[in-house]
Amino acid sequence: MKPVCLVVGAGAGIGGNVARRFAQQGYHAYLCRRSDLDGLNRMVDAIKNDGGSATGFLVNAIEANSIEERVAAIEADIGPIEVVVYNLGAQIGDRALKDTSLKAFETGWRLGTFGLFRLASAVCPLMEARGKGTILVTSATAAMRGNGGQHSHAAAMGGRRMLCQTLNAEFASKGIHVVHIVIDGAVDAPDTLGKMLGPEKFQQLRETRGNEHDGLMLPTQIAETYLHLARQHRSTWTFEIDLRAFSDRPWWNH
Amino acid sequence: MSQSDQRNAQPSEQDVALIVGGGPGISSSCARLFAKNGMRVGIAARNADKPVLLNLENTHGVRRYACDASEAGAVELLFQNVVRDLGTPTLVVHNIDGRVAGIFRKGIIDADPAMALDTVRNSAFSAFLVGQQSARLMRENKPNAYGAKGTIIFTNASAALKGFSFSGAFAMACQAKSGLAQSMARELMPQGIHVANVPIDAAIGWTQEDGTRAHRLAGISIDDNMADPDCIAETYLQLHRQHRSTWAFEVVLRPWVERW
Repeated sequence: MKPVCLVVGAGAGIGGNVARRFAQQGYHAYLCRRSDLDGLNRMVDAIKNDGGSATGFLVNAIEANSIEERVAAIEADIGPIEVVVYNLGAQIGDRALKDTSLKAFETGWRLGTFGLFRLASAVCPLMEARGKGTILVTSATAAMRGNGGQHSHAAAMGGRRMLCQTLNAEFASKGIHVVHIVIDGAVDAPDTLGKMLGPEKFQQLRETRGNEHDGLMLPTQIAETYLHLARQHRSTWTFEIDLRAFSDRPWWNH
Repeated sequence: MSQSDQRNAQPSEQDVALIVGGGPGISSSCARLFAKNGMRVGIAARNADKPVLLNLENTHGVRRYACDASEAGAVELLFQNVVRDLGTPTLVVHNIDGRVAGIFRKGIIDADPAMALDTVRNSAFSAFLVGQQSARLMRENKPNAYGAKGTIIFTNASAALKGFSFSGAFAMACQAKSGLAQSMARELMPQGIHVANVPIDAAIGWTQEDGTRAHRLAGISIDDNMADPDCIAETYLQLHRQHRSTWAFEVVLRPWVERW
């Protein structure tokens, strides 16, 4: 039975590429995303064609019991969840306070913070009983710094960061490695940045900052660091890591 | 997929690593791991004839250099010699703790000013000198498979994160080193040189002759409660191999059971 790497938020960016990288290393990759069954199936097929094993499932993380049911089903039908990647974003672009609705704020919190809490509540007892597990949490500049227009996103991601800290405080000594990964820059990801900008602007951005300029973070390369973090020996764990393109200004230097 | 995804991601055989500050812990682990990964490795220490360094030379072909890294002229000469013997460094690890024996556990009232200054000179000032020489040389390097002209890693300590009591000199030294690393990262990363600050927030227990892992003061490591320098070296190597689209600046390493 292969150990499972569960990816919550598996688009064509970080989530899908991390799933693929872990599948190459012998994990069964379990990819969850909210929509786009075709895109999900393409990623699962690509992993299988690569010789890996994978499952895809459409999950709306905001719905009650959706995450909890997935965890139970995977443990019953596929194998022990060794690695969890919580990769749901909550970026809605810059919005002034008056343009940030209560609904938008609440949704941000549900995706940014509450979903991780629910996932942790479901997997931590399992991992604790086994004495090991890894929880890799994708996070953002907004977890470190509240930039203008980021009311909903910064609150959600700041909450995510603090939740990671308290999870670490309770579970590190029980063998669960929690990592808060600060993605401090734009990712070359068609499903998130691409959709936010629209195809034309995204292509333009790729041409000016991406491609050979390497100024957009490449998800295939980000996946290498996720894998390294999951493999760190318990004598030498990293709780938090910041990643950005070489040409980008870091959050602490704005 | 962009073009850079397709690049050959194998480590370059031309990698030249220089580790400044050499002892039995992180520096030895790095030297062994870097050599195993095909790099030409140099290691510099005040006393380059320590048995542990001689052993690295014999077992892993590591080149030894005597250098007082708190002296500008000595550091310049060190880099000239490394370039002559091994080639221009592509990976430099500054790994000097810097504390002089008499400064440990001294409160602010009792700390000897000359020892405090020596500690800062040995640690942060030597980091400046090593960083400066590295940057001058690396900016002329050609980008490697990861788009980088070189990597500069500063080993740091818990004192970089918080000022402990009875440790004022070391707190100054470590926070100065962090500030230097941040500044260098801002200046050099856009030029293709990866700079990383790595505070080790723990006692480091290295493997002794009897196979146990232990720290001089903290005793024997039980259940991986001390950082294993061989594992620290793995993270240093990963930092060096990060693609330039995705560079980490600060990585804190601590054992799973460490409180913080």
